[in-house]
Amino acid sequence: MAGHIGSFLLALGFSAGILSGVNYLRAIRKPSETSLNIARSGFYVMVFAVMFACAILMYLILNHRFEYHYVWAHSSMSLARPFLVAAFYSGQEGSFILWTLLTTLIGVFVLGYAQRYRYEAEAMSVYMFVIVLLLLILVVDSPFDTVFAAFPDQMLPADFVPKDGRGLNPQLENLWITIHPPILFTGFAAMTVPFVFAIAGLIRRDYQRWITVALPWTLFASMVLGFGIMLGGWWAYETLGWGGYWAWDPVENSSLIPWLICVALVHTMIVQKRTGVVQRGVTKKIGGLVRTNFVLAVCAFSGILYSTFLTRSGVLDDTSVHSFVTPGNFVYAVLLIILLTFFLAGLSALIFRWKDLSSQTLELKLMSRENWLGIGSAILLASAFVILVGTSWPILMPLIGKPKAKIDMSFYNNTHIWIGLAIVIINALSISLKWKNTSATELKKSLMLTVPIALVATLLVAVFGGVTDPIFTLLMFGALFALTINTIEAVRYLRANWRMAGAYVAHAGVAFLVVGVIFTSRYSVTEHVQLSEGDTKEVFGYQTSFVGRDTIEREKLDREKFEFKIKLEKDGSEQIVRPVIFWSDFNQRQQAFLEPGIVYNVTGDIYISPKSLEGIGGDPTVVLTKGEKTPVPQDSAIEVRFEKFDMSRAASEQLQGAVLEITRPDTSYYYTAYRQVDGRYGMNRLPGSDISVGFAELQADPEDLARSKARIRFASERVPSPPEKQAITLDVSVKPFISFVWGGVIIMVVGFFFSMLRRRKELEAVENLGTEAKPVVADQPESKERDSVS
Amino acid sequence: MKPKYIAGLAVGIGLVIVAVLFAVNKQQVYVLFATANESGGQVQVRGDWVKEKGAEYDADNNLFRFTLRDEAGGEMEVHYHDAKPNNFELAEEIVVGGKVENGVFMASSVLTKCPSKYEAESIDVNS
Repeated sequence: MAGHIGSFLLALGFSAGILSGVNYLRAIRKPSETSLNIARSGFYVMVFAVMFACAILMYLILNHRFEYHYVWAHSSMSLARPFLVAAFYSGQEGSFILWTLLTTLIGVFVLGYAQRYRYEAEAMSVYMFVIVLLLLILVVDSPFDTVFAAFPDQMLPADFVPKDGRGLNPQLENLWITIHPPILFTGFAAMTVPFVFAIAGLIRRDYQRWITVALPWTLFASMVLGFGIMLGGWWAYETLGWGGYWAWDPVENSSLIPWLICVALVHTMIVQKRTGVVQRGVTKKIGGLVRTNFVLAVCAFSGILYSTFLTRSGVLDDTSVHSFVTPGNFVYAVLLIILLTFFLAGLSALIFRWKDLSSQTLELKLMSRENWLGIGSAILLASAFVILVGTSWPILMPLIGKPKAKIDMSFYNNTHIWIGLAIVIINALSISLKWKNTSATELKKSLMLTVPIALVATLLVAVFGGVTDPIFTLLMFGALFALTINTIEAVRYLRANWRMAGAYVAHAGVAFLVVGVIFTSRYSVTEHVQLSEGDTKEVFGYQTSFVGRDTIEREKLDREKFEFKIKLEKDGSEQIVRPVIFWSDFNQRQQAFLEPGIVYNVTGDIYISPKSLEGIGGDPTVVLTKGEKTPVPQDSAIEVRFEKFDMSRAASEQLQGAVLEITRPDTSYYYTAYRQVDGRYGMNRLPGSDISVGFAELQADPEDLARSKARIRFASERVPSPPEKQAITLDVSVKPFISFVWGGVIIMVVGFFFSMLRRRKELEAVENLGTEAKPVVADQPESKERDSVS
Repeated sequence: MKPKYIAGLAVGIGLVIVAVLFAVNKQQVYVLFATANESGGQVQVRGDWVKEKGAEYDADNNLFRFTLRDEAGGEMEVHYHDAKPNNFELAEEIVVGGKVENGVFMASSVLTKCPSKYEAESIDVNS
């Protein structure tokens, strides 16, 4: 019943969205309050329909309604509440509904914003078009299908309710899944806004003012998406134990591409804004890079859609560590159609207005900041392009008739050393320049201060940090050069007007990030070590020992989870690192899940990644399949052959038997070793010898029971075994300055936030709508064009 | 066309060529073991783990060993210098990247595809 309401609400939202969009289109052609009122009502009906549909899905998950396929597939009775909430979006349909919900909610703000800046009909018609197509995916691939409908071949009764769901992959059960996806999808949703205003600008023949209106949103999208991507990297590092934070995996790349385009767009928008003039909401002069901005706005949003297509359609299934199975041809087609629709519609709109736009020529002085901003954007786009080529390679090759191929990680690393170098150097130079033009003396004065500081810093890093690899030293110099000039500027503006400091703070963050990347990618070291209980080995100058283990999450019956205590001792101080190994019912406890233990330090983390756990010592065991034989490890004169299992006492006495044929030089006989169903077993003396045997383990093969194996343990009185203990195998790594990677991105995000507020305030001033009568001060008073803005 | 555009176009085309050349150099084509053996270059091979031949992790050398059967039925031993990848036993398909040395596939990456993790193909009525 609830599911029917959910499906109905999605369909209602879809219809109301179409109604709203159509009426907004009518309002563009012929402004009328009636059309606008219908359109707004349609919009709000859609908002409430989507919100209620989400509430119902959440209700179904929280109440364990496993008759719904989505609930069954992504949650279970034992899942803790935060993860039940996360189950809402951990599957394919759910992540689409989250994206739709966030796009819808952001739409509420966009509506108010568009009304305020007289852009309602144009912007909202496009926005509705986006939401309607997202809703179409949900109508096609509904999260409200029942298991009965999902498995038509199985002849389930129509009211079939599974007792429990399949649950969430236990590796995903941590804090990150509650934070990362919502933030990432907020970024995805926010990327719609610059696109919408670009198209709206084209519809209205407004080629300048839309920049001012859309810029705060472009900054918002860059901020949120950038933060979301970083959280994904942190998650991979902190829990998944991939060792690093970035592996150039298609799923990572595909959200990085639109982010890079979006950041490039921020820069080119600023160039256009700087070189054009808008007064009291009226364009007086159109600035440069007009067409570039339209193209990039279309590409950034298409990038989001392409990302979704790559990761959700299954096209890259065998090239990514993230697996999403092919969701069916219909969804594949819908995704492809949506991608092409927006990309082609955006470009067509631009081509339609191309003549209109061609009159503008931009004359930039070589030594102006605008010029270098443009070049910087080009480098960001080059990065996006390189990643796009690499990520799409497995799709591109078959398209031109070549065999399918995957690109190695080194492709990205090798290209990005140079791209990274270009980015930091160009950034540092452009900040050293003034708007419009810079005299050689001014530039020299600036460089005479910053370059020596950067050189000395690079030297210090080379001496004390060991960064001596030539290319990386060059990159380090670039990063420190950018860091110096941006820090100087940021401090200056933070005192005067903190909003103005945004760009400098953000770029200082980028410089920190590059420093962190240099250290972690080039100077991380790893040592492979096996420790048994009580052992001490020296690793990177630490006396490392395995001192025991604690069972954690004892209350959860679906898992066996241990924290292994690894003690690190150096110079009299000691600390315990706790990598985690656990077994879960999720994969029938067939294979352990591994989580790293980390000691966080500003100057470098100690990262201990567990690899395997084994019992060493103790009485030896041998695994046998039916018919296989082995000599007894302690006495090769005796041979043991595994004949068959004996389950005759399983039902009555809970005993499983393994029938063994014992062959000695003089005689041969059958002996049956028993174990209890719960795993306990005893060691029993083989008649006429000092050897005892025990049936230690039954390794059932679920596919073919005849191939199941028996593990037999052998003990000897004459040859005592060494005491049994556990040995853990670890990769111990030192990751120098990895904190700069996270810290750099966080600083950058803060910078985006300042800039967003600044641009918002400027918009208010330019539009003469703000409560403050004073125009925002330009960041360089000598700029005449800025003074005329009031 | 203005010289500026021509210059821009030239730079753009140059970039495309450089990126593609780089990429061609760094690509790993999906092939069968037989081809991988002949070429000796960096490739990717898709296949199933041959369960009967086992899979073992040698902790001392940090070496994981198993045998993979490709889509044409060709089998080869795979060596991978890392722990057993997640979901190895459950994987429906395994994709290894690397190259053949002395009849052994030296893998630099082992990808375990486990669709059932996300989307089930059937439901156990008794559960």
